[in-house]
Parts: sequence; structure tokens; C-alpha cells
Amino acid sequence: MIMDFEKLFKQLVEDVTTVIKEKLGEFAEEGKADIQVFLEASKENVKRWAELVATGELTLDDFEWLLKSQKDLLLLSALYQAGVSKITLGRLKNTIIKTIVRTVANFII
Amino acid sequence: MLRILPHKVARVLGILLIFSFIFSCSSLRTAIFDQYSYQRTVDIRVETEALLNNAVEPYTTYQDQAEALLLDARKVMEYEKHKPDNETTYRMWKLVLDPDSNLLAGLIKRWEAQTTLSPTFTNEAVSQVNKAMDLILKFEMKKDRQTKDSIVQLLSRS
Repeated sequence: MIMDFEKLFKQLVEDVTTVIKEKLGEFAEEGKADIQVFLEASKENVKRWAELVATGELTLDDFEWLLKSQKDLLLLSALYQAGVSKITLGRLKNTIIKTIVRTVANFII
Repeated sequence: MLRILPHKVARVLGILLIFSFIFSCSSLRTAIFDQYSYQRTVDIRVETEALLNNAVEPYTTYQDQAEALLLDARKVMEYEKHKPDNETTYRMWKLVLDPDSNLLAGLIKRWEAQTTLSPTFTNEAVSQVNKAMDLILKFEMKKDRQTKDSIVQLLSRS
């Protein structure tokens, strides 16, 4: 089976990036670097599945299902990254509050 | 004294402005770590892997188990849904349990539709579902433990 793997992967990355932007809005940018790392890691999976299709161990239908599962996993990973960014910002917020409380206390006392 | 007072008032106003800005950032709140959520997710992950490894056999043999597992997982999702400031975890569960997504519920749906799945496909698909469950667990672990500083907790929630 002839398959332009690089072309296929590029398309997958584009599709996933669009989905992430649509679904995560403001948080899409925050985990961008981590998502890129995840996408690169996905490349191995996609390549292995393509080879399994070539050897007949996976059907094209299986391959398509797995590709979509990778997209869903990437979306899940984007949710995770956005959530972690939010926790980090929340911690920063608490540190600022602590600083303000200390400043106000010093000012009043 | 009169010269110092406006400066102090400006400082207080400045502090109040910073306060109001911080308190307006309500979207930054995330639920704290929940041992119950973590334990239930570990249970679901273990049961999912054990069940799905049987997907090479007829679905009907495992139908009751599969339905019970999905019901359990939906209970966890519902628990997460009603926990305050827990949208990320809820959205993660929602994706994993969406029958139209190709993760846990989607794999069970495919197994049911095709009766049996090939060993190679099962192996690859179960690995994908495991990764999804691991991400939910990892996110729960990232959440803060109960904060020891009650004043900060009180102010964060205002």
C-alpha cells in the first residue's frame, strides 16, 4: 500500500490544531509547546499503524478508528495542559493574595 | 500629616484595585485534589483494561460487564460534573465516555458493532484508552491539596 505518511501526519496536525482552537479558546495557546511535543510523540504511533495496515495486521477501517482515537487523545491532552496552566495561574493568584495580605497587614499595623 | 495622607490613600486604593482584579479572575479556580475521584478513576482504569483485553472474544459474552463498567464510569463523570470548579476533569470524562469519540465508550461501541475485534487492533486501541485514563489520573494528581492557609483559601473563594 502506498501511503504518503508525512502528508497524512501534516493533515492530522492541522485538523487537531483546529479542533483544539475551537474547543479550548483562550487556553489553546497556553499548552501549545506541550501539545507540539505530544504531536511529535503521536508520529510514532501513526507510523506503526500505517505499517500494520501495509502488512495486513490492521484493516483500513481499524487504521481510521485509531487515527481518530489519536485525535481524541490529543484533544484530551490539550484539555489536560489547559487545566494545568489554570492550576499554575491559580497558585500565582494565591501567592499574590498572600503578598497583598502581608502588605496590608504591614500598612495597618 | 496632611501631605502623607493622600499618598497612603493612593496606596490603599491601589491595593483595592489589585484585589478586585484578582478576585475577578474566577476562571482560575480549580477544584482541589479529591482522593475519592482518584480512587474511583484508578478502579475504572483497571477494570477497563481487564475488560477490553477480552475484545477478541464475542461481545455478548462480556456485555453485562461492559454495561456495568460504562454505568460506573458515568457515575464518576456525574460526580465530577457537580463538583465546583471542576470543568476540566468533567470535560475529560465527557470525551472519554462519548460513544462518538474513539476512546473508552467508542471502543466498546465498536466491539459491540463488530462482535469481535482483531488482536492487533485490540492491543493498539486498549493502549489508547489507557493513555486517556492516565491523563485523567495525572490531572487529578496535579490539583492542589487542601490549602493550609485558611485566609488565602477564604480570599480565593470570595
